[in-house]
Amino acid sequence: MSHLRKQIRDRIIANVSNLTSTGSRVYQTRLYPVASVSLPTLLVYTVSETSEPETMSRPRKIIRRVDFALEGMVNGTSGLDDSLDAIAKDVEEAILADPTCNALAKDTVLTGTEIDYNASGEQPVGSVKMTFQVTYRTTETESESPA
Amino acid sequence: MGVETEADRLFMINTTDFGTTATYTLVAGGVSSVVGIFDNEYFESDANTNVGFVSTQPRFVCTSASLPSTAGYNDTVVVNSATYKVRVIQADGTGMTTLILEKQ
Repeated sequence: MSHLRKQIRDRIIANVSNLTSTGSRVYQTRLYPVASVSLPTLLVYTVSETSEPETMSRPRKIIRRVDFALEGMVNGTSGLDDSLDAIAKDVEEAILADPTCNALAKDTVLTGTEIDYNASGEQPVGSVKMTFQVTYRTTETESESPA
Repeated sequence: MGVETEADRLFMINTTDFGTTATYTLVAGGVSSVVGIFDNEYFESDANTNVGFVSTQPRFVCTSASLPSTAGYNDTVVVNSATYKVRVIQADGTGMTTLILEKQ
């Protein structure tokens, strides 16, 4: 078994694969730039996590809050904002229809959305970055299973 | 103002060397041929995401005098069989102009 965080990330990626707006162009932790011919696309990153003990006796239960960034990118000569909102709709609905990530987590909330535009290439490119915070719990001696 | 003449500038971009002929169509109508140098280099840019994107950057450099006097935003340029819209016109003040293009 792998860390519960990885299991949650895998579940999120499965939930956003083959969306109407981005199709199968979903990349986990992509580190190389995306070619404009490959847009629209969806990038998934684990950004950060906070944790704190929830019980006194050992092994303590640890409540964790991990932030995942889901970044949609699209290009076009018109309607960029509409395309970005279509990606946001698809992603939000897919993620929040499964807020426990198949019973791996306690809850999932959308904590922020950033939208950006860039017109320095052959066609304008827009991006929408959505941050989802997933709350889950493990014991401090076993990080593979929900507690 | 540059020290060279229009003929000097046209010589630098002639089609025998690096120049190519584009078809320039005004939004208001009117078609003309313009000789210039077409650049379309790859570059990487930031999209406020964890990684950027790579794209080409189409530019057309010509003499300012060879452009129609009413040239402006949204005119159409066809060069090397590809169609572009003019998004920015950058006259450098010395007789040369760079067209920032958007691929259609």
